[in-house]
Amino acid sequence: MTRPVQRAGPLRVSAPADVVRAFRRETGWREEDGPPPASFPVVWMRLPEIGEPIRAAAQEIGLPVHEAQLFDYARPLETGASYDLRLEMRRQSNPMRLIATAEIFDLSGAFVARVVSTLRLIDPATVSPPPPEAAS
Amino acid sequence: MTTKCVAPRVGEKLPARTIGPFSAQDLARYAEASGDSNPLHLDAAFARGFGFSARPLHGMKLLAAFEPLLAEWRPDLAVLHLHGQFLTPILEGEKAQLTARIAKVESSEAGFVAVARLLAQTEKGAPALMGEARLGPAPR
Repeated sequence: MTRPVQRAGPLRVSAPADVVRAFRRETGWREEDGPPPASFPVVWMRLPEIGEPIRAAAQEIGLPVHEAQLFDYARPLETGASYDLRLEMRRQSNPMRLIATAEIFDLSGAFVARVVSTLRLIDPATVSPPPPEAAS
Repeated sequence: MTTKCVAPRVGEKLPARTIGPFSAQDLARYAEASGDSNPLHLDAAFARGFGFSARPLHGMKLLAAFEPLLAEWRPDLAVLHLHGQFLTPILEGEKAQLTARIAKVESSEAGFVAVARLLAQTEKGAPALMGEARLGPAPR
C-alpha cells in the first residue's frame, strides 16, 4: 500500500519558450509568444517524481480524474526561468482522492506560487457503462 | 507618464466565448503540450469503460481557456489566483461556453484585487466548470 502522504523535492523545473508556446497554443491564446499562463505549472505533472505516485495510486485504486485545480501566485512565472518545486501528495478516503500540493520557489528561494491539484480516484468496478445509445 | 490601472466594476460581465467543438486531435494536441496523457482523454474505448459516451476534454484545458479570455478583456490585469472545480465533462465533438463576471473588488497593496466568478457550460447548459480568478494590476 502506498503511503498516505508522500513528499518530493526540491525538483528543478523550468518554463522553456517552446513549451510555453505550445501550451499557449493549445489553451486558446491568440498569440503563442507571451509569458507562461498561470495554469502553465500543470505541465510539470509529467515529471516522474509527480507522475509516478499518481500512476501508483491509479494501479492500486483506480483512474485519477481531475476534480479541482488551484493556482495561487505571489508573482508571475517567467519564460526561460527555472524554479524549485516542493511537492506533497496526500491521500483522502471516502471518496478516494489524491491531493497534490506544489510550492514553487525561484532559485533565490523566494516563494512564487502554490498549485493544488485534486484528483478523484475512480474504481472501475464501481462505474456503470454508458447507455447503449450514448455509447454508439 | 504612467496610466493608472482602473479597477473593474462589480457586476461587469466579460464577453462570453464559445470554444470547441473539440476533436480527438484537439485532445491529443493538448495532451502533448501539457503532458497529461491520461487515456481517459485519448482512448474512446477506455473512456467508455468509465461510463463516458465519448472522450472527455481535459478539465485543465477548459480552466486554462479562461486565461486568454481574461487577458483579452483587460490586458492590464494579471491573474493572481485561478481556481476551478470540474463538474460536467465536455465530450469530444461538443462545444463549451465560457462566461465570467466581476463579483467583488477588494483594495490591496497593489491597488485592488478583482474577483471574477468563472462558469463554463456544456451545450445543454449544464455547469462544466465553476471557478474563480483573482486579478490585480499587471506588473509593468
